[in-house]
Amino acid sequence: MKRKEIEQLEAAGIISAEQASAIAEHFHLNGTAGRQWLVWSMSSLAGVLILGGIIMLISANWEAIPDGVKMAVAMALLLGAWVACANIHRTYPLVAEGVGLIGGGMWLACIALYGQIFQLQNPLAEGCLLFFAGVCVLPFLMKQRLLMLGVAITSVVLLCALLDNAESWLTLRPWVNNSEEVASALALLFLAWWLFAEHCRGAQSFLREYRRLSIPALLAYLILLQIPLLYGEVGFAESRMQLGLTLAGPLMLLVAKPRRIAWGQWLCVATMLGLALPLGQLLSEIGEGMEPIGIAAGLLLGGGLMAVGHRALRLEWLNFGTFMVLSAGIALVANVLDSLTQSGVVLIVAGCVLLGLVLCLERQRRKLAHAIRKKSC
Amino acid sequence: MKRNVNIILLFVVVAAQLLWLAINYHQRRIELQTAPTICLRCNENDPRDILRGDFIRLNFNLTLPLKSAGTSIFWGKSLCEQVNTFSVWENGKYVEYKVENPLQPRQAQAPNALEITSQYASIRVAAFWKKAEDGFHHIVRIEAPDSSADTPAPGELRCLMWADINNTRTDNQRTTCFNLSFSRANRNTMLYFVEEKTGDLMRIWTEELHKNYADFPANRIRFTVDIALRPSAAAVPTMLYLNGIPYPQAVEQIRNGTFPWLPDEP
Repeated sequence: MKRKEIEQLEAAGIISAEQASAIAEHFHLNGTAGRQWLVWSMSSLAGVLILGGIIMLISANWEAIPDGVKMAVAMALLLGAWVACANIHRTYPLVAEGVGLIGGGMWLACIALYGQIFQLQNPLAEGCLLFFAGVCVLPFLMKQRLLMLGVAITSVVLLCALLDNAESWLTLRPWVNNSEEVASALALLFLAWWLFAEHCRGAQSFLREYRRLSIPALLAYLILLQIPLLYGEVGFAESRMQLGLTLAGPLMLLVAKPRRIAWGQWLCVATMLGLALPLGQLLSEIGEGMEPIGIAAGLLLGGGLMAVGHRALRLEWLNFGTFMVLSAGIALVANVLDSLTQSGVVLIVAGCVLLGLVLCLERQRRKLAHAIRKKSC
Repeated sequence: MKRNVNIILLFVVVAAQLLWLAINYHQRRIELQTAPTICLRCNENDPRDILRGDFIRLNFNLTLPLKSAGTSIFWGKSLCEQVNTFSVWENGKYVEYKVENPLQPRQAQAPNALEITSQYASIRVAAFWKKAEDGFHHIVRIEAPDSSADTPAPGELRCLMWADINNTRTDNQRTTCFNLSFSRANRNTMLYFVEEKTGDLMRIWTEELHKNYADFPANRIRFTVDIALRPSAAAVPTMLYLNGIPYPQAVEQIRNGTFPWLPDEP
C-alpha cells in the first residue's frame, strides 16, 4: 500500500485520521527515524533561514515602501505561514514544523516592525510579553516542537526582563527585588517547565513530543540550586515573597504529580528537588563553615536521585543524580584546594581524587543504566 | 474532529494577533497625525546598525535650573540646604546663576502636587514648550503632572517628561538642575530610524563625514529634529533636519556636493 492510497481512503471518510496514521506506521510509510530527523532538521534549518531573511528584509531598508504596505506584507506572511502549516501538517508534519516556526517568528517580526515604524522605545519586557502571549498557545494546538522550545526560552527571558525592568509599569521589582528572590523565582520557573515536560511524557497526543524539555529545564534548575548549596552564595532573604517562593516549589511538586509515577517514588523525587534550593539558601544564610554540610547534602540528594531513578526505571533521573553527585565532588575538591596551599602536589592529588570519583561514578551509573534498560525491555 | 477544533483555535489566535496589529497600527497612525510637534536643537551620532537599519541617535541638551519649576513643584528642606546655584545650558556650556533669595521649604498645597525632598530624585513632570524667536521650542516651565496649574497657556504645548535632579560640580561650585528626557530608559538619548531612500547611507557617513574625525565638520551642521508629543508621554521623532533640510534630501545633497554647509566660525 502507498501513502497516497491511505490519504485517499482518509479523504473519502472510509478510515479515520488515527487509522490512517496507524496503517502508515504499520507499513513503515512514515519513513525511517533517521530520515525523519534529517527532514525535520532540514525543514527547521529552512524555516530559520527564511525567517532570518524575512526579518532582515523587514527590519533593514524597505525605504521605498510605505509603512502601511510594510505592515500589511508582514501580516500577510504571518497569516500565510499558518495557512500553509495547517494545510500540510497532516501530510508533511515535519515540514509543517518549519513553516510553523516561520509563523511564530513572523509574529515577533511584526512586533519589531511595529516598534520600528512608530519609534517605540518600550522596554524588553513589554515586547517579550506580547510575543509570549501571542505564541504560547500555538504549540498546544499543533505539534510545534521548535516553537515550544522558543516559548520556553521566551518565558525565561520574559521573567528576567520583568525582574530587571525597574522603570516601567510592567515589572516584578516591587515584589521581587533582591538576588535571593530572583534566584528562587527562576528556579520556580525551571521547575514548572520540568513538571510540564514530565506530564507530557504520559500524554497520548502530540504533547508527548515535548517531554524532552525536561532535560534542559531540570539541568537549569540543578545548576541554579548548586550555587547556594555547594558554594554558599545567594542566601535566604527575610521577606514574605521569599517565603512564598520557597514554599511554592515543594507545593508545586506535590500538587503536580505525574500520573504514571507511584506516590512513593514521586515523594522521594519531590523531597530531593524541592528541598535542595531552600536548604542551600538557609546554609548560605547561616554563613561560613557550612560548605561541607552543603556538599554532603549535595552528595546525598544526588545519590538519592540516582537510587530513585534506578527504582523507577528512569534513566534521566539517574543521569541527573549523577550530575549532582559529580557537581558536589567538584565543589569538594574546590573547597579542599581553597583551604590548602596550592602546591603542585596538592593539585595532582586533587586531580587524581576527582578522576577517581568520575571513574567510580561513571561505572556505577553505567551499571544502573544497564539494569534500567534491561528491566524496561 | 479534535484536529479540526485545534485548527479553528489556531486561526482564532492568529486572527487575534492580526487584529491587535491592525488596531494598534491604526491608532498610532491617527495619534501621530494629530499629535503636536516641537522643533529642537540636538547633537548627532553616527547611524549604523545591521539589524535595525540606519538610525540616528539624538542627544538633547535639556537641562534646566530648578527656578524654572512652576508653582506646583515643591521642594523639601534637605534639598534647599544644598542648593546654592543653578546652572543653565547656554551656548554650549553651563552658565551658573545664584539662587534667588535662598529657597525656602514649602508645603504642597494640593494633594496631587509633587514634593521634592531629596537630591537625585527621579520624577515625572509635565513640561510646557513654547516656540521662541530663534524658531525652536523651549521649555518655559514644568509642573507636577495633574496638578491644579497643569494646563498649557495660550501658545504652549504640554508633554510629560522624566526629570532627574542632579547635583554637579562645576569650577568647585555645586549646581543643581533638572535633567529632562523624553524616555526614562534612554535618559537624554533617543534613537531615530532614518529612511534615507538612497540605499548607501553607511558609505556617505563613513567615507565622507567620518573619514577623519578631526576633519568632521560638526560645527558646520546644525542638527534639528521634529518631535511629535504623544498624550501617553512617549515622544516620537518624526524628521531630522541638517541645516534645516530634511535628512534624506540633505544626505543626497552631501553626496552630490550641493549641501549648504554653514560657514566656518572664526
